[in-house]
Amino acid sequence: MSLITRKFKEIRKNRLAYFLILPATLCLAIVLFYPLFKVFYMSFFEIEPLYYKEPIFAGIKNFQKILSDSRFKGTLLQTAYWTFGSVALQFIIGLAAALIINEVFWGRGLARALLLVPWAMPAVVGAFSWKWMWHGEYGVVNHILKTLHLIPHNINWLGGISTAMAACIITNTWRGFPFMMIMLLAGLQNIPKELYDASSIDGASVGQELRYITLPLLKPVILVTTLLAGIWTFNNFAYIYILTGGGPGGKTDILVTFIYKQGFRFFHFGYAAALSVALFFMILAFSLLYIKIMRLESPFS
Amino acid sequence: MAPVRRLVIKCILLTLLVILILWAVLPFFWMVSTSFKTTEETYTVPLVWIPRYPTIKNFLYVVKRAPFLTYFRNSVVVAVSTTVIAIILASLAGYSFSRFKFLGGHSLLLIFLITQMFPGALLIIPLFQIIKALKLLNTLYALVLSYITFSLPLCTWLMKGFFDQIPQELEEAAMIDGCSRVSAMVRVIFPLALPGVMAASIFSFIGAWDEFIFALIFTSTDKARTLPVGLQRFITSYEIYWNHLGAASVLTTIPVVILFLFIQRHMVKGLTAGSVKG
Repeated sequence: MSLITRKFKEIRKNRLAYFLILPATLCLAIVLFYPLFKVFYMSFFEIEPLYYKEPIFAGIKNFQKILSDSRFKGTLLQTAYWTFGSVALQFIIGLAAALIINEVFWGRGLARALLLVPWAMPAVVGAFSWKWMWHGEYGVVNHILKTLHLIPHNINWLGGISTAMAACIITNTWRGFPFMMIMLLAGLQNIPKELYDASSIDGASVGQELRYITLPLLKPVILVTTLLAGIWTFNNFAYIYILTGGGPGGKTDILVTFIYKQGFRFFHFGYAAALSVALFFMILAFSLLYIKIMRLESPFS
Repeated sequence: MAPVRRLVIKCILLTLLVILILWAVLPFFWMVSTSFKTTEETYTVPLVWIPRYPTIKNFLYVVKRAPFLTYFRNSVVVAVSTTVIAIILASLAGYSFSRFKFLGGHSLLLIFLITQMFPGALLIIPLFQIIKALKLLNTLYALVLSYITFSLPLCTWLMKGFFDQIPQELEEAAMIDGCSRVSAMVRVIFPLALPGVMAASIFSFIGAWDEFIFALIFTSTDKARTLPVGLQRFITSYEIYWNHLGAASVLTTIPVVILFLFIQRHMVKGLTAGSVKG
């Protein structure tokens, strides 16, 4: 029996298996893979519905435009600031929360439930609540900071060039830290208590325990959760769009809002497609890294 | 460690925890508080933490005057149909991945994992053109189709995981008793995977309930707008009444809370009452 007929027989034998995955695969093919193919194709055309009726072949012109676009460079830097800033803060606060909750004390379940509120409420509602809290005149953030005498006057947080991105990052940190906390808490509870007993006999300080026991043993969980949080933040269109719309003056634009604007505000569809291709390769790099780490040190096995 | 020092550390930790909790719940508290305020009280300096003259006018306004109910209905229709269809497709695929070893199965599973990373924003440009060409702009079909696809990878992974925990012997026994493979799957295995179905449903429902970018791009009239984009409409109109937005936000949150409460109880029951423990 030749190889081909053997493979064919194998496929026939498992036809139920293929039949069962067919609907799901079809959905992915129509809504994910065909558009993905199309976006690559579109990126080689000038598609300007305001000026020309038909797309015009442009070769690599759109990609050259990306390289020379100073706003793109600015956006890329802002995306990095947004992603790393959010994930770093989410991690620090999530770890602190997990460590505190892990210390046994009264009311632990309630504390954990309350800390999960940002994650449990609809994402969009969280963003709107914060937009209202950052309000320049009637915002509760200004009110609290003035009561504590930390600022003399009201600050227009989301409208100021120097404060807008920081405000967005704080908002996104609020949204994302509960996920970190839950994952790290699960990791902490897997660390054998004997290790801490041994280290306290040896006279280790709290800081040394954190440095030499807790963090090294949490490393697999930390890697996976920070990478996931990074991908989510990198792609978080809704928060930026709702909070600032990318403003003031594009100072809070991140890659995904920049693409949206190029396409649906300025109608440069070809250029937006080329930007999407660039985005695709960045996400691919992220994903491959993620899969590699998952395989190397799966914390869930 | 000296007991006094230990007590001090505990106090510091507790203070930190209280600050953290206040920060976590403040936005929701503030939105709820605003939703019960009159317009005058909403715009008062210094701020009022708890409304002195609580009113339900904002809720009445939102429900009666604004197209909120249309948004709400659209959101329910989209989220429910997405969940039902996605769960059926994901169960079939998950079962297949769990029970069969077939050519290309492993790489396909890996592709499912990678697509989980794809953000909606990556595909807005081509998808808009495709949906437009299909004449599906401003319809709920466009939203349901894309939400199903984006929730399939994760749901399939979850369902595969749950099926993996159910021993293969159960359906083998059913097949010896005269069931066909398909009826063993439907009658024996799927009921046992019910807790998994519940978990995957939450993800799918909340994903659809929250989704923003496709809803923004595929809809331009109130006929097909869902809540996330509908809430945005309260802001882009000439005047923003934050108390109205507050009421709409509270109403948007309620179904999610109910779902959590309902499913949590259901899940615990499913795990303890099932003949197979996870």
